Amino acid sequence: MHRLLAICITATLLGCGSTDAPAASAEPEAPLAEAVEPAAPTDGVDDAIDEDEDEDDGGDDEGTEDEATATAPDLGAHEVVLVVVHDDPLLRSEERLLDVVAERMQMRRIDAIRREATDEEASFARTRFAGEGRESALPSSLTEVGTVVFVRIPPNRELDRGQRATRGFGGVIAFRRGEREPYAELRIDDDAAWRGADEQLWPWLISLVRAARPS
Amino acid sequence: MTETCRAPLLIASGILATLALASPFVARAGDRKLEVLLVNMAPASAQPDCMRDITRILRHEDTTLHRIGGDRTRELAGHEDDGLPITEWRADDLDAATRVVRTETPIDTIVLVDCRPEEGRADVWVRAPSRGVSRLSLRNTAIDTERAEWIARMVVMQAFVGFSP
Repeated sequence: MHRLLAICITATLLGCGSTDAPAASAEPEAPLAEAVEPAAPTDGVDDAIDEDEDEDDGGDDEGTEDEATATAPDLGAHEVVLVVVHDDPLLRSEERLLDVVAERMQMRRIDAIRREATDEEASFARTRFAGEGRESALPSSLTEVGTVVFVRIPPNRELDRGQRATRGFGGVIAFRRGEREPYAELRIDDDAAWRGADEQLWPWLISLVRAARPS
Repeated sequence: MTETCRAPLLIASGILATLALASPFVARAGDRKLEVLLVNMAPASAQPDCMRDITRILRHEDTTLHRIGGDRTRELAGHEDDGLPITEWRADDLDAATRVVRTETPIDTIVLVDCRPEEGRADVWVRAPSRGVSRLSLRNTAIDTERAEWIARMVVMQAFVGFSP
């Protein structure tokens, strides 16, 4: 508050000292609004939100799904399969987030592979993320693999001029190998999506994956 | 404006601008603390270690914690008899609970925790200031201190979504 007050007084004095600068008193409003708006408890989060506001016109994301599903890797050979479920094409910031998660897992000696959900897997996951379909079984494509972690990216926010911004991270559902019921489930409403920094999300997800290991 | 008037003004402006830039104030949700209603939903008012761990971590954030009992919360939410898990509760169900808590500022966030380490399970329900709800369930998992801290990290992240003091 002291800082804002000083800025306002400074701007007022400068406006007083010059009769040909009528707009000077209006300029401090922008930093004021930015300073009081942060919605999360750390500075790192603020950075991430700014980054996420880098709107995307969608054009650069074309082809992402094709690249991800072009090959059929041996899922069973991996400890963890991250299955990404999303409605809109992933934004660059969302791609980066998922890349960071996979990369950090590798660095922590967690053999993880990330891939897009197939139609069947996406349908299964969306039903579970909606809090329904508890009786439905894990798709057969994922029954013989290691820990399965569905990662949900919620629909983008529509901005002006057709631009889009990420809502963040929309939750996870994790299954241990061969188990029908998930050992962990985080369902997040779209208007509460986790917009935290990568530095907060990946350790959380790594801890989630480690919880699947036998104690 | 005369030169004699301008010089002191410029000096004063410089001093104030320097003060503004040197101020330790960091832009964050800190004009006031987050008002959190934290409810232990464990059966029979048990006080498991995980609940204490989660409470401890929440206290270290920019929060003011308020507490009411789990049974009272179920009653206020209209779920005292239906046995509905807290992860199935709706955002509006807790409106009544926020009204009975006496605070100088309104409750921003509601956190319900049903932690049962002896059963290897935990359920957590968070209603953020945005009114969006997050629901976390753990099953067949050791709910030790590390896991409780992991739960708390999720709660802290979700508790501030939409907070604008």
